[in-house]
Amino acid sequence: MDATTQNIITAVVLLLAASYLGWRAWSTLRGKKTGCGCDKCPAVKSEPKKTP
Amino acid sequence: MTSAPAAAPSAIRTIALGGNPNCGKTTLFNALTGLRQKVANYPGITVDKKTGRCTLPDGHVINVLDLPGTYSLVANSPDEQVAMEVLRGLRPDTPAPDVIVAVVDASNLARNLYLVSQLIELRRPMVVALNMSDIANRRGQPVDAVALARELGVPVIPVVGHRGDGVDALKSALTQATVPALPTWLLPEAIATAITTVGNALPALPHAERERFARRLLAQETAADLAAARADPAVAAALANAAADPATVMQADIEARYHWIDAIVARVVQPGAFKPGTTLTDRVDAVLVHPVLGLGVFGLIMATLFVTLFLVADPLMGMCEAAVSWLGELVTGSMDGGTLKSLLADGVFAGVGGVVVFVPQIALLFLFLAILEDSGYLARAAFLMDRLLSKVGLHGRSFIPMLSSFACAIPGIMATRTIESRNERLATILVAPFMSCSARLPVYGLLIGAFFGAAMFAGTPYEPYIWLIQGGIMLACYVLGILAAVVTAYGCKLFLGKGAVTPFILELPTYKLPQPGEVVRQMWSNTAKFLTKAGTIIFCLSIVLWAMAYFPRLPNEKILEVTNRHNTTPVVIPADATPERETEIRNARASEIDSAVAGAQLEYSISGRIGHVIEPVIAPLGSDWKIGGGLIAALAAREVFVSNLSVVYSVGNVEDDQTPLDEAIRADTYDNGKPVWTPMVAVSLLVWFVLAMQCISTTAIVRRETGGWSWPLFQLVYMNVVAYGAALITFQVGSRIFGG
Amino acid sequence: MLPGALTLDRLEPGSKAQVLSVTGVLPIRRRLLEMGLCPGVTVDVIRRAPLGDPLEVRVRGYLLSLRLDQAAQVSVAALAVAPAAVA
Repeated sequence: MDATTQNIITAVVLLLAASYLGWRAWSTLRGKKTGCGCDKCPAVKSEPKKTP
Repeated sequence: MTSAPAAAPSAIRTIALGGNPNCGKTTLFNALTGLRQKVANYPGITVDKKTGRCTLPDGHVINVLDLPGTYSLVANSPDEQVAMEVLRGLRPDTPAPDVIVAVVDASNLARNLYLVSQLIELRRPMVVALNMSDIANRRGQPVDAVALARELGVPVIPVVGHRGDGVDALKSALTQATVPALPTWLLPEAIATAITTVGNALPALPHAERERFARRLLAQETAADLAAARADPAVAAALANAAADPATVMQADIEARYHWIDAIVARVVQPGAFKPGTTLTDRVDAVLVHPVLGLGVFGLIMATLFVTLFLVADPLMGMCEAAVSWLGELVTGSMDGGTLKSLLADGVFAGVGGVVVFVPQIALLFLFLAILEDSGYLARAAFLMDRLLSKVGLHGRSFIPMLSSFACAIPGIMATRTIESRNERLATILVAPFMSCSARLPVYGLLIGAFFGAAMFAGTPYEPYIWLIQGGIMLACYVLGILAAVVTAYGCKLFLGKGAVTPFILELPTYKLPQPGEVVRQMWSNTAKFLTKAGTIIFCLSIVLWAMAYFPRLPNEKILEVTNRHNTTPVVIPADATPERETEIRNARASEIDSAVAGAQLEYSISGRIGHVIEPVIAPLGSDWKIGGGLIAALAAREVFVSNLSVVYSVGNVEDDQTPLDEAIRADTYDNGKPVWTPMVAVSLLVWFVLAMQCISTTAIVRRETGGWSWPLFQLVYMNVVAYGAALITFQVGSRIFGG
Repeated sequence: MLPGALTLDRLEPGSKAQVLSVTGVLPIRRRLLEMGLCPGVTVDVIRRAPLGDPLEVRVRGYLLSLRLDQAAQVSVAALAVAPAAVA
């Protein structure tokens, strides 16, 4: 595999990795379902409705 | 006793499992739904909604709702509130179930029947699942299910949830669910009159419901109901004239129910030779909850956990390490040097591999926690801890969320929903991250393993005790976190005040042998989550971190500059040197130059530049810029500290092979030859990791649970300031006393 | 409650008592009653946690753990009193 091919593949991989991280960071701050090692609970946030 | 007709099979869409806490409801839910379950959230309130699907014998699929455990439909906490609202059909998001499955603990029949007495008043088809019949039988107090069914007027199915016995019978019984007849509870005449009077002022309600509702108003069961009812002047007048004090009505009502319950229990339970104090639970408790012995046992259990982590996990970790490097070699060995090869070898394999080798330790930790929880020991520990915790403004009920936080603070923080007092709940949330979570384990493992292991003790009299020392240091880390938590909680108590007094009424469930299946399932599930995290976040982060350490590339002039600088001192070859010795010396010079170039490349990279910018801040803690880069990366996930170091040292490694990270760390030196990493540096870093708030996900959860940004930000600043100060003092004082 | 009346928090482990009445704030009173501590019920005091609080009792066949300040709201008549433990 010559240097140019390596560089191209690297660039693509890097871009994908960075986008994934960006997406995760944005979701976490928006308060979505937790994705971090827990057994019991992850709860999906929904719009609070009025209870009678 | 007449009962209303059963629900038609096809009409059942949803059933709900209701019952006391610890009655085995969740185990039964698991038995009914298997893996077809999910956890969501009730809108507007932070309580989990557990639903699942179950197939009935006739092939029909129904929804199963696992309600939070509650002792009474007069709620004392948000959990119980939700259970009550769902059962009464008051939640628009969750319609009332078609059939109520009352899960009753056969070994605790009397108190469990109290809730059943309230469920009967809901006038819905019901089935009773008589759980834990095995325990009742073993105690010599078997419950006659047939007789109980006759007394209550609903099907009663004996089940043993954790063995799955009776589950099929329960499913069949659902179609036979009946609306039980209302028992007559005898109330003192004055109160009965008062109830009738108020009842007459409620013509809007169906006749059958008036007296029940009137009683609830008089006993002031729900503030909301009371306020709404008083809006009607006729009702308000009737209430005022009723001349019945709420406490009296309430007590009369509860006593009447228990009279009814006692009569049933007498007819349904064999008067066994049950002698209190003789069950296995009682005998075990005599030791485990004993003031002195109990705390001692607790300490012993915790110490065993940590020592085992090192002892048992160590050989397993060696195997993981070997596997990772073998795999790395396989993939990259035959590639030509270049960007991609570096990305794979120094980025992916170093970064992800560096963390994955800690899986044995993490899995073991999860296993221990699962065993402690499943056996029922945790409630005893909470009992032991309550007095201590309440002195610092926490709650016995805080203990379990805190213990969960040892795996991950996030479920621990969500578990604080069972704490009724707002101040106690807040204090528990604030201190939860001090409990060293499983993400810190790779960091502890690396630092303790590298600096307090064979390298330090080989050849000393301490050598045989290495695993004991390592376990002890790790225990000390956990203890430090706990101390910080206690002090912080005390501070909260001083500043926030005591808050509402809440009853600490906690039931101590019977001990049971932890179910191997359940324990392994939990361990596997938690470990799988860790691996998933490694495969996704850590994988991508390692790639990005690699890029930051690899680019920009050193321009040729700079490479030349470094080479020339090292060549100013000529290579010295003794006159009598053999050709092999000469080659050796020249090679040594060549690799010295390679190292220097690699080091310069690292410093030239993005990672290096960022590291140098923050270096002045962390130098007093003994850390250099490489460590600094790791600390920043750890904000995304603490394990990434290890990954980052692994990536950086791999990129800077001139050899083609993979040097294990702990060796690379120990070998690293500054330009003046002084080692970068000393035991004191490691200790200072340990202190930082114990105390610092470094997990964005946790901050996000704290924001959600406290409803705002002020508390999570306060927590972030407070914890990191404390961590910085402590690490600073540790390093400055420690290096003066112990050297380097 | 009359001052000096015997309350659940004053009993030593090993004692047996009968509940006479439950007083206090309505929600806590309700919860104590609902958990089975009704007038006329027999209670066994099993043990105290280290430092004395909370208290573990057996009532209606199960183990209940409650804080001393709540146990103080339950007035009782002693049926069998254990000798006070030597401090």
